[in-house]
Amino acid sequence: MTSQNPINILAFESSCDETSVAVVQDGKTILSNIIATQIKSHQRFGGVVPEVASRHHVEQIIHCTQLALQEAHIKYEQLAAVAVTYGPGLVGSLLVGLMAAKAVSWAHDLPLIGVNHLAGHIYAANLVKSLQYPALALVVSGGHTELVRVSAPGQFHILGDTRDDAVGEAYDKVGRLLGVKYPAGKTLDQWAHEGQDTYDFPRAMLQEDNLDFSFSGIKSAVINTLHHAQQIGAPINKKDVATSFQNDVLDILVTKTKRALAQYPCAQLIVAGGVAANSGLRERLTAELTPQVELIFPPLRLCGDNAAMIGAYAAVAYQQRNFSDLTLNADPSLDFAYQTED
Amino acid sequence: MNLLALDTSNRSLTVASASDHHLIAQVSYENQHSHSVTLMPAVDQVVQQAGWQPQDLDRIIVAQGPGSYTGLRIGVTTAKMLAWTLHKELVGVSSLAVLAQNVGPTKGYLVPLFDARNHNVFAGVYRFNEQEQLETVVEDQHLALATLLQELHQIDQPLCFIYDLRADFQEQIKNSLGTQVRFIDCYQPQPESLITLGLQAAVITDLNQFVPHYLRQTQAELIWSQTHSVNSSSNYVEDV
Repeated sequence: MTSQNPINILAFESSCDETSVAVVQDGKTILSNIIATQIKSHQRFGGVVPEVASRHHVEQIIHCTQLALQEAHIKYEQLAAVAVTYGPGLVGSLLVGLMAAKAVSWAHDLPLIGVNHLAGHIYAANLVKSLQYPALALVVSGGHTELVRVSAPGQFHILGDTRDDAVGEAYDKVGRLLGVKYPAGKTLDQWAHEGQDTYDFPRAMLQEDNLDFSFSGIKSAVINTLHHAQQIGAPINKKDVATSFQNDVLDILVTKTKRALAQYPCAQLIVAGGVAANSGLRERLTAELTPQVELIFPPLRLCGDNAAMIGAYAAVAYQQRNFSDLTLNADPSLDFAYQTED
Repeated sequence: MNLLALDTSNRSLTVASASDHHLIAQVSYENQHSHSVTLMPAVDQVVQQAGWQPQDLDRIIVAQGPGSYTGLRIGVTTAKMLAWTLHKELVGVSSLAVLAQNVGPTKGYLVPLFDARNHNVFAGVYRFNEQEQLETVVEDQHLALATLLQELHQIDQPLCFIYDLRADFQEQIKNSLGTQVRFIDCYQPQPESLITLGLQAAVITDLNQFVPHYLRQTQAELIWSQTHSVNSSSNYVEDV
């Protein structure tokens, strides 16, 4: 038996407002995971400004790549491939990581692997625990709210999707109404644990027989409540608004996830994306779904956008020899296929 | 010296390999929208045609702007990553100077410009010196065409405007500066121009700080800076 060389992958992620470069071994071990975040910059504008984000990526890309290789103690000849997020995301941001990855892959004659950002979020779980198939993933972030079935390595199908806002987007919009700095998730989650559910906002689409989500109605309900209170001069308890809002959101997420598990039984539930950092979501899912399913919450650092998760998924693509060529383009609206009735 | 030159600052794409002033291979597309797709295959092609490996390059030349923000980022990111990862020299040249260089030694001043929409242009003023080298008279800037024309009134030299003449500027320019001005329809960067300028340019010492010459703040930052004092030392991006 010959011992196999480790598969070291240099991975790039720049789909939104984090420039990240990582080296991941065999899709399991993080040798480095450098993340430069632009949050402070975009806080000036109350949200991510695409042109500003793209400019920052160009400023950061070499710095991050240099640190990633240094920290991993990896030379180019020890790399097996270069991986990069090619969508979904902001096109201008995606292009910086994409061109950087292509340059390194061409310069050192390394295979190029284009990775779907959402596949990366899901495979962040693989850095914590080996995935068992079929698995269910709840992908919740500032840009996405999806239930995804992972039937085999690299096989993804959408069971349900948001019809309007992503859940993280709803947090940021409600946060702005309450005067919370972008990104608002952490503060609202904290307030939600300190207030009471006194407002009882409507639960959207719970009655409907599908696995889709909607969050714009809740946002409108919060706007109306605050507006009304302002007009009649009634005081607003922000913490109670946060609790009511978060309970509403969690009811929807948990109910639809349970329904998906009933329709498509899985041994594992992966909670992925930035909103997977929400402690309320972690508590509810743990209380209501364990021990029937094994819950995987990636550690906080791997919930937000990072390149290690791209390297984690790239190992699957590498095994399947699923390589891209130098014509690989950014695809800002890249998505998985929908699950068809079977 | 083995050179790789690229310009993706506007709709045309130009990629070339050269040995000093001797052009070896080139790829040019006149009017296309996907530099992100075509740039690296073009780089691969011109380097292969030269019979080189990536390691054989000595210097990367890139048009640094002004131009389309996305186009500039595609070229600049590729060039700086190539230079960094291969430990090669990087130089940036003005995308407007490339147009002036296209025209070649001429009497008087050359005014290359790009349409920046809403009656604005990116423009610079250049001239060829006695050694037939291009010199900057007025640095590239983003400004209203009317303001540029006012500034040009002070210049007592024959003027030659170089741009994509499909842009509807001729009448305004003639009205302002008289009918003596010349116009040259030129918007495609020539590889020879990139190479000539790239051989003269200073080598970049800090690759990290190498970014496109956008010559314009983003709209969001402009508005923000009207109500906030801009602290240039603010660190808006941090490693976490």
